[in-house]
Amino acid sequence: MLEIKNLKASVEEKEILKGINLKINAGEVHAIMGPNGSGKSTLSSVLAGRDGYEVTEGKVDFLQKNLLELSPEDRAREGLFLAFQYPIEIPGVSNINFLKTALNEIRAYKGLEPISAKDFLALVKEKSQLVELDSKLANRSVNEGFSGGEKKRNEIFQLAMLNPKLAILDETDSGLDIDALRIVANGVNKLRSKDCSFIIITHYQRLLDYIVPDFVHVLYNGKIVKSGTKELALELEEKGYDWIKAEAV
Amino acid sequence: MTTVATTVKDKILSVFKNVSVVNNTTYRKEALEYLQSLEVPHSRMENWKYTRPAFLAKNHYELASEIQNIDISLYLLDATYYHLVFINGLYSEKESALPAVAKDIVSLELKNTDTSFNKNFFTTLNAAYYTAGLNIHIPAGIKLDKPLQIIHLSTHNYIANVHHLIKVEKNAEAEILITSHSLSEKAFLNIFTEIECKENATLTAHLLQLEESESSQYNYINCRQGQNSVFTINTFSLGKAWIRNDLDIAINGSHCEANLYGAYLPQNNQHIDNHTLVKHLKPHSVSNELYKGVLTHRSTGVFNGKVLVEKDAQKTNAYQSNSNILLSNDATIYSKPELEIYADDVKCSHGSTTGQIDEEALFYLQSRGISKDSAMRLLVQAFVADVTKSLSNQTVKTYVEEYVADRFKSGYAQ
Ligand SMILES: Nc1ncnc2c1ncn2[C@@H]1O[C@H](COP(=O)(O)OP(=O)(O)O)[C@@H](O)[C@H]1O
Ligand SMILES: [Mg+2]
Repeated sequence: MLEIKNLKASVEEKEILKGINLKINAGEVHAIMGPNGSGKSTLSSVLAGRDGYEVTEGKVDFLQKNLLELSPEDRAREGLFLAFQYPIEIPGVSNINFLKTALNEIRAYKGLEPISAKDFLALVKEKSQLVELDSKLANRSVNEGFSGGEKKRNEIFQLAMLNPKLAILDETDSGLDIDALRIVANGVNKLRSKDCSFIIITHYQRLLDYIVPDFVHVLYNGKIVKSGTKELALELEEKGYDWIKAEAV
Repeated sequence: MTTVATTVKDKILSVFKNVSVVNNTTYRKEALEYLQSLEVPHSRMENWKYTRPAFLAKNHYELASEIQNIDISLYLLDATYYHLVFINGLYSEKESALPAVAKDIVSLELKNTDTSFNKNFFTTLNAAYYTAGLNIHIPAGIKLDKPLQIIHLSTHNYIANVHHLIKVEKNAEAEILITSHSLSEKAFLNIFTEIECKENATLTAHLLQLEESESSQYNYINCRQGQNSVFTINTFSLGKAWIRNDLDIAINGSHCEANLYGAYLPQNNQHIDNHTLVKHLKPHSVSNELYKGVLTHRSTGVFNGKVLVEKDAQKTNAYQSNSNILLSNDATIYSKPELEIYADDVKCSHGSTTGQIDEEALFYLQSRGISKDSAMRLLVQAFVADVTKSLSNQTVKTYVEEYVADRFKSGYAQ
């Protein structure tokens, strides 16, 4: 469903992604690990279509479409979702109003009628329970005054509401205590299905105890330098990243 | 000697050359005399640096001689409110609705006691030549049961001078909407409103400037507050007119509250100027001021807010904030908050920000499937909602919020 071929991207003339290859089939969960600064967030930004990144080479196919040609909103409407590493606060825009707008624009793109108020509320109730998000938070401004953990849970809540085909979780685990981590992981596990693939970006293997991946990749210095199964994550946990760095030289 | 300034003035005054001042009171005489010594404001005057009314002299104005027949139902914010209608500076009894109970409260006879006309050329012009106005007097202990909307409609190339007096007596309460509308870009409306809030009085005024054509408006309001009074004024400039608002508030009693909220959304070549002055003369009062601007196209906004805290006004709390979003590279905002404090035990703050729409927020919304246009609209709505959330009048609140939603429903124009 997603195929990244020799993807190279730069920020301000500096090459960050140096030829990424990755293929993800429907329903698979891939973990991408790697030391800080290796390009994990850059990869997710390029996939989601954030401004300021220049793709210099390669291509990305997403469900038979050329992903890189689509606007950020059309990528989302095609079924891509990015849970941000640092979700921002948007004062004055209510979570509910924002999600309703998003859901209806996605539905309109697919030629569907807007969701009824009743169905929408039922959906909010169901999905906020999934990540144990206080329903009061759903009525507040997007992420405004949320704790770090609440922001991350709100990302997963949005994921659940929008029901994407590929979800990228960028260090959703960082800054979470063990209880919050378990809640987030449970939520993700419930959303995992043959219709929804995941890319789980994480710095630590801890999250992978809860969300067991089908494949693990190590991103280092803008390239995937090693791929394997979940055992690779354990090996990284044990040995750290230094041996990867040494091997990559 | 003929200078540019005197020709501009002569041109404007020539409109009035055949006016025989009917009730030739001393007030008018004094105003006429004083007018001789005044110049039409120009950019060398400190308060008029960015707002130049000289362009008015390019238009050919006339005075309306009869009350035009116009259905004003379109301009009613709420049909159940009392409403009083001025068309081109003339009172239209036919279009107004004032039940008998309120007849004691509103009269068309202006008894001027104040000589505050000496503010500038326009206020003095108004004092000399106003053609109509309301004398609203809320007696002690009375609460006006419904809001009252004063409608000003401008058409053709008419110049209108309207003068209102609003007095809210001790323990009385009222809510007044002052709205302006125009059907012609050649019209000029000059409104002068004097307000007095006595001890314990509460007055909420909403200024809704909704001109549908690129006409012009000068609007001057002063308010004197007595002890324990609460005066709130919300100024929403949502139309297409060239506008200069001057708001002078004198807090002349202790334990008062003055609230000034405003939002302006100029478009195309439009120019909107808000000058406010809050004078704290007595101790233990609070003033809150929040103005927000969203500017598109080649429009210009001016905000100049001055808070003056006199020596006797100890324990004053004064807050002022102005923030702006420029949605176009060609739009301009001149923002100048000013604080002048002569008391030592006060809490005052002021601030001004100007920026573009937050790109990070825009991307966040887009990444959830929301189009750039809708995302922009949501962010502008949120920005303005910061002002409207303080409105207790749901009709006014909804009107403003719907205007913003509608104006930006397909994103924004550069
Ligand atoms: N917007 C940006 N401007 C400049 N440099 C950037 C930007 N985004 C990322 N980088 C640089 O790209 C590299 C990779 O960053 P990032 O993708 O955030 O890594 P990771 O998520 O793996 O920690 C770092 O050297 C970082 O400084
Ligand atoms: Mg990162």
